[in-house]
Amino acid sequence: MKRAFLGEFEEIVLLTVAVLDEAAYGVTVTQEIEQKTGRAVGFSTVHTTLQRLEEKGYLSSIMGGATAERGGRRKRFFTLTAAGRSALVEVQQVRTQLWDALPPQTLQLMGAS
Amino acid sequence: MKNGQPPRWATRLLHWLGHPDTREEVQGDLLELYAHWVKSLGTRRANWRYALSALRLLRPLAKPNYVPEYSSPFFLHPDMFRSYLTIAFRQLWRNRLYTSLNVVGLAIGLSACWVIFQLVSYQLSFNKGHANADHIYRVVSEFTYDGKPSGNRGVPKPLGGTMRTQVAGVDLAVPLERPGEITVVVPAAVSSGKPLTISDVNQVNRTTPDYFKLLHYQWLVGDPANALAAPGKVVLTQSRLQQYFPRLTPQQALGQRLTYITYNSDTTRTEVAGVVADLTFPTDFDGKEFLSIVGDTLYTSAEEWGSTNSDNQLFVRLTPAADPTRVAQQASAWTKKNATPLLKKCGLSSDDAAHHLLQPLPEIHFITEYGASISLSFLYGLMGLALFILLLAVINYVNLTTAQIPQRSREIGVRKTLGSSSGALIGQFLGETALVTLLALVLALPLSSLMMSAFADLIPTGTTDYLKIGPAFLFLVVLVLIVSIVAGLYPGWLITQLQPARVLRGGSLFVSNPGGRLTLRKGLIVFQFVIAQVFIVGAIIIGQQLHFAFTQDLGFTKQAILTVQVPLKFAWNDKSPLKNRHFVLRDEYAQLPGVAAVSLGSPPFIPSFSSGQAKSRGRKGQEIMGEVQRKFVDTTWLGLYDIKLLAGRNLYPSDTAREWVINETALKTFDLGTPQEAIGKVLTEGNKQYPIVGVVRDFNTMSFSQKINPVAMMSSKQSLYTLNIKLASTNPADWPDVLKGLEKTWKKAYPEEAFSYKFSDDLVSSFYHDERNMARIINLATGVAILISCLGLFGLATLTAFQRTKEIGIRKVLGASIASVVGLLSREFVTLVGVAILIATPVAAWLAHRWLENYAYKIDLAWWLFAGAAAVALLIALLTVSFQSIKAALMNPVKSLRSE
Repeated sequence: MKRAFLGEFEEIVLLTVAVLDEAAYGVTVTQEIEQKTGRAVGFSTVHTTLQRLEEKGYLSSIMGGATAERGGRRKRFFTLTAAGRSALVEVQQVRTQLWDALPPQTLQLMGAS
Repeated sequence: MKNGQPPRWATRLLHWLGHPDTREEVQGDLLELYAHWVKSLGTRRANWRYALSALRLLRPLAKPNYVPEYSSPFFLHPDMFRSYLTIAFRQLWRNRLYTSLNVVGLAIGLSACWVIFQLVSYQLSFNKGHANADHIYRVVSEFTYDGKPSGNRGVPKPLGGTMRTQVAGVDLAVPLERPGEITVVVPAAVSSGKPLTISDVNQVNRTTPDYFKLLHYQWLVGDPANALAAPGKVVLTQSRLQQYFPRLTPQQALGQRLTYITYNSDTTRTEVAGVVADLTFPTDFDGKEFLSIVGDTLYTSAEEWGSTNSDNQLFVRLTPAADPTRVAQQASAWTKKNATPLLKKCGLSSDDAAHHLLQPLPEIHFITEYGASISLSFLYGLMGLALFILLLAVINYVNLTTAQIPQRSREIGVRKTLGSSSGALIGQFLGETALVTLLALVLALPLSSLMMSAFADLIPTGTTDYLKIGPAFLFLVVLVLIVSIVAGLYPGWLITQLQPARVLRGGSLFVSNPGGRLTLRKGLIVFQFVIAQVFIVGAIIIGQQLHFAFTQDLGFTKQAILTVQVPLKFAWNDKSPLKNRHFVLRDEYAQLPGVAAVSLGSPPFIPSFSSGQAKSRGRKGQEIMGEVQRKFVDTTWLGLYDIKLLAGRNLYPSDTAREWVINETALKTFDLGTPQEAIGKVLTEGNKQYPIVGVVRDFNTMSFSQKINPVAMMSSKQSLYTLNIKLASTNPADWPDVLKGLEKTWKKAYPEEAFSYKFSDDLVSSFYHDERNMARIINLATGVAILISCLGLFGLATLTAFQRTKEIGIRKVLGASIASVVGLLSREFVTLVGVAILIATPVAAWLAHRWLENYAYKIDLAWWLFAGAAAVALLIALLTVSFQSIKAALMNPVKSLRSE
């Protein structure tokens, strides 16, 4: 299988969508990232990333029902696809392997555990 | 900028230029974020952020790449196309009756167009195939008799040579002489080795070598420039070569001998100097054999300036800069100059000389005054006729289709609800129309062959051969397209007006008042019947006038009289031993059983005659000049034709004309008083004086389009060339035996000549050849117009009866009689036809009046002619409608009312 390639920001967005579960759409994803990472992200960046992830097949989207606020416009809700989940798992495994491979003295130097 | 509202420009920009696929959610998300930003950051910064995000989300070049869930496919999408076809075929099949009515109607219209297209395109292509046709002109002569111009397509023989040398701008001047029927002797016919004699050969031309410079021929053998440069040379076309020398190649034919003998035994011995391919395109240059006129002294003789014969044509090619009018003027001046001394000798003035005109080659095929058989206006008339018939068929289609729309309203309603655009709906209807038109075309092609064969004698040979696949195909395609569009557009437009909500709920179909539509349909029916009615009146009046012409007393009997032409090649040939044989024949014929009387002399009714200017003194002593038609007859002629002598006596036999018997018109023209008074008076013609010995009752000498001329009958033995034979029995069953006897005697007198005769009444009817052909065309057109109009009427009546089934059922339950129901259903249509009659009658009367003005003797436009035509139309309409209305009226109301 082709190795999943995820950029750092893509990974964050993908994770955030996973975190938000059913309620992931442009606004919530943007706000969640701002809150959780404390970094100011533009909506346009998030939107573009969501589109790209959908194109790559990691996300699927479905239009929600009409809403009362936001001018009656519908929301596009994103959910992880199987490919998206396995990509995240794979990324995490790579990290874990790398962490596991760290020599113990380095690990101690970093002050972790 | 209002508080709580993001910058409008950014929103707009995003709306226009954002990615269309994600436009909705992006706008929504941004709005939501904006509200959040306003709360957390303040309006100003929120605006900033909003604008910035919007700008960064612009995707001005993005195209949508998704398919909406309920899209309407492109209306020419293959799937839609299949759906249309399926629906169309189902629709056509379900309404088989209307489909066949439409198809038959359109097929008749299309086949009329197709036949007339072939005719017209053939005629219009005449002479257009010649290279340089724009610079080639025919020189013709115009004479003025009694202030009226009269055309002759010939010119004096020497004019060609003079024009070539003396008139500026004339590049080539080519005389073309048609010597009439000729006998050709092939001295060494290949098949038998014996001389082969072929008589009555046509399409022989005499001309100069320049003829082949004027017109391009493909030379198979021979030198184009010199083939005719010497006397005694002949150039043949390939078809004639094959006729005369079937086994020779063009090469071998060179130098072969042919002898040409004219009717007066002028013999020309020639040898073949060239062979050309036959012209393959329609042309008036139909010559197949070209004899050289080089060395013919008549073409330089000063005496010839005075005579103009239609067999001596002249063609010129002008330089591009030359002005045809000026060339014609100069030619006229030359003729006037040279002819004046000759005219003076005959007591005529220089004004009687020919005035020349130049006619462009592409036009000469249509100049009927100069011998053309067909005029452009006739062709336009034909085209108009075809168009009218097609129009009737199209109107039918429109009527029947619009009337059927209520039955299809469900389908249309569903289509509209599912998002069909009006363009697509119109397209669908146009497509259905095209389908019906194509079906009609399939039927039209055999139908037009049928028409062609029915009118084969009117259609010039070569018409069908000329047909080129390319233009013909194009014509048919364009015809089908135009018919489809014209016929399908209105019904198509009408359905776009349909209100789907109402249709599907089962209410009325249109927002607009349906009465308006009905008026249009009624208008169309009225229009159809106006045309049909005009045709009916036309057919009746032409028929009546022809009947009148055949049955009216012509002033002489024509029953059981036949005429036989004496072979002129003997009678006109002083050297022939058979020169006076016809006088012997007359006496022998008179002895035959079954023959009542025989006379030599020109029949009363003949297409051509000789005439002269006669002078007399009227009763007041005034001098009267007038034209007199001469008739050369013998002493039994008046008796044979039962022409009544009013005063005086019959002619005495004489070798040359010495005395005249005149008719009543001559009596009036020359103011000679009563018939009795006229006897013994003298008429002068030229320098000879003729005493009047008898006066006869007027008789017609020409068709009814001409007034009776002053006629002078005279006895001149040298001018009698027609045998008039009156049979004893008027019963046609007795004739074959007599004819056999006549032929036997003829063969004894002229062993080589075929015996051919014409009955006098056939001779008379041949005068009305054009009229009878016109009557045939008009009768056919009338039939077609009635047929098409009735098809339409029938269809509409069927539909009305169907739509009113319930109403009729209820009426019958409530006690309506069958008669009243039939009346109810028929009244509407009969009223329409009545209106059409009211409109058509004055139009038809005016047209009939114009047509009858061509006749000196004509029927009166009696009211009953029009009433009769109206009755015919009403009757036909009533019959058409009543079939359906009676059927509807007889229907059992139980059946029509049971459901629902």
